[in-house]
Amino acid sequence: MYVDLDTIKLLWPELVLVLLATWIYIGGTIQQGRWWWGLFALAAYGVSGHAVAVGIVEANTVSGPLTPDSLGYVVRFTAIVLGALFTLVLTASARKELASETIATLMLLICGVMLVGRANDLVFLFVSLELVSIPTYVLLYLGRRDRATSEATVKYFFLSVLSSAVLLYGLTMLYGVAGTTTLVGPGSIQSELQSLSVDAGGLGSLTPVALVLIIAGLGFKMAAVPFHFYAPDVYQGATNANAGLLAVVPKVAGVIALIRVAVIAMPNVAEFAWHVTLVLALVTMTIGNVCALWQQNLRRLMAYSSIAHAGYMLIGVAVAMAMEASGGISGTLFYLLVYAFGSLGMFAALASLGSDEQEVSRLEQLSGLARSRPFVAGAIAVCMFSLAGIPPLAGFWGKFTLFTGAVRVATDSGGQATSVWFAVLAVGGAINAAIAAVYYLRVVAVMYFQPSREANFGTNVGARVVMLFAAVLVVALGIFPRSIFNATEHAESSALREKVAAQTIQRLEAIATSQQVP
Amino acid sequence: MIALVSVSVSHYLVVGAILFVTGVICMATKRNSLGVLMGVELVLNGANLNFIAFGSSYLRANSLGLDGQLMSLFVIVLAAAEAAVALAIALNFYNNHSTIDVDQASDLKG
Repeated sequence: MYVDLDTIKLLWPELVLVLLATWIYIGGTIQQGRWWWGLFALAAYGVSGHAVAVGIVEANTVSGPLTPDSLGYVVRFTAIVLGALFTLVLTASARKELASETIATLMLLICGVMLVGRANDLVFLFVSLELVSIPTYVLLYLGRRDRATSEATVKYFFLSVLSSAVLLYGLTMLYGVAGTTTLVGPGSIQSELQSLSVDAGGLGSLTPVALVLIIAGLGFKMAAVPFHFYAPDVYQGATNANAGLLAVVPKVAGVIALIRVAVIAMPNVAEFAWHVTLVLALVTMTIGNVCALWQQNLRRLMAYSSIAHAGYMLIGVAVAMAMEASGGISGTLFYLLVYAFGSLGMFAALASLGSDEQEVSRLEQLSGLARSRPFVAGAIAVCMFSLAGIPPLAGFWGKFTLFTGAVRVATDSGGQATSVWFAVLAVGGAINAAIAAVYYLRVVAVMYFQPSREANFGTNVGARVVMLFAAVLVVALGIFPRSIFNATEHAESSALREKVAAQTIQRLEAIATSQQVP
Repeated sequence: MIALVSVSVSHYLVVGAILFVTGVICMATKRNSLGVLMGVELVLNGANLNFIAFGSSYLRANSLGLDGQLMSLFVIVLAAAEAAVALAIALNFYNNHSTIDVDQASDLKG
């Protein structure tokens, strides 16, 4: 029997989520009410998280489409925490009759992110990414039923499908070149491509094409250039809670998929890959930061901020491509976590201010918030400072690691041209951080230095809890970044270990065959 | 049979690429959102054709098993799931805009 007990055990954390999400879909038709199902979903995340934690202790030797490395564990824990937090926000802000569907769809989405984190196979990876995309369309659609939301949903849907198709087209080329769908391990894409020269002609010359298509396709999920332009329109049309979801969860999936495919599994085009990624990083963060400067709509502002942060994450990806074991993957992961909680805190704060009649969407609605709602203003300020990268908050350590990674490649790499490129990247990143500070600080200035306005803000308890949690976490990570650094560094070395092992085996085989010849 | 021998992987790749580009052009130029959805199907099938051609045991010296065919099956199922969601989205768009012309989706800008 192919599906045996071990397979179920291995997939148990994800299976729990899918089963209980189905239960919520069915049960929601009988038992209505938000908190009933919200608490049920929180319990489900608890069970799933416990199952992941137990899975670490057990010896994970099973290979195949699932990878047991600790990069997967970091992603899965992050996904579960994000899922629980977004459940709180969405439970309190979704319409009552749609609350159960919203919560269950979110669970499927989180399950998709968890599966992306441990995918070691092209089929598995693509299906997991679709498990992230399709629930996102449904969630956007469930948020509101007005003109703006329906337009945002249509725009997001068609661009997302196009980007999935571009990614798939890239994966076909990768499959054609390597002749297998496994990413890392013996007889995998990674070991096949290791010895394949791009210039030799034949199928190998398709690898750069595959790489460009894959980066473009995953760039949509990260909101990176060239598929970035949807973000401002879609965030503006979505509810605050959904915009937060779009800004955080697909980005996690996109970055991890990019690391798994483009960084780890495609070693023969690394030279070309870091050139492409580096240019995209520079363009993405500059476009994001410069366009954010004159935005008055808060969700548009955060959309351009999300684009800019995708650019920063690409710095880490470029570093990881240019130099092995350079801390690039670890820095990107750390930045991803920091960005996720900073952005989540901001959107949760906006959601907590909204009521059924009125939603907070324009910057001037926040004026004088420090006097009318001091806690919310404080949380927003903490998140803004962290996203701007001001010490001692978590965002500072994120940017610090990424920029030092770029500087390390610039100083340590052999080639003159490489040094110049990465020096430009580090300087570009620093200039961008300065530009970004302008619009983040403008939000803080509006809250603290402008006269208070009469506004009937809502009291969304779930969103307020999440906002405070995110703000506290951002401060705590800023003061004690070491624990998370240890986790991400371990994730990087464990993700690269399979690759190093495969290279060693290949080298030994080469020696063995050369000795047999005489 | 002799005519078939001269057909290689690259012929299939060309057909796949033509399907892909036709689909993208269809998505870019069609104004009816169901027309755009048909463009999506063309793009996905272009990729499917690539998978089948690369995985085919008739076109390649070493057998690759059924991975390519399997991936195509998954993509077909996913395309069906996406079409189901797309119809719901198009219906919602129609309820708000009284049309499914995607050019009418131009309220959000700034």
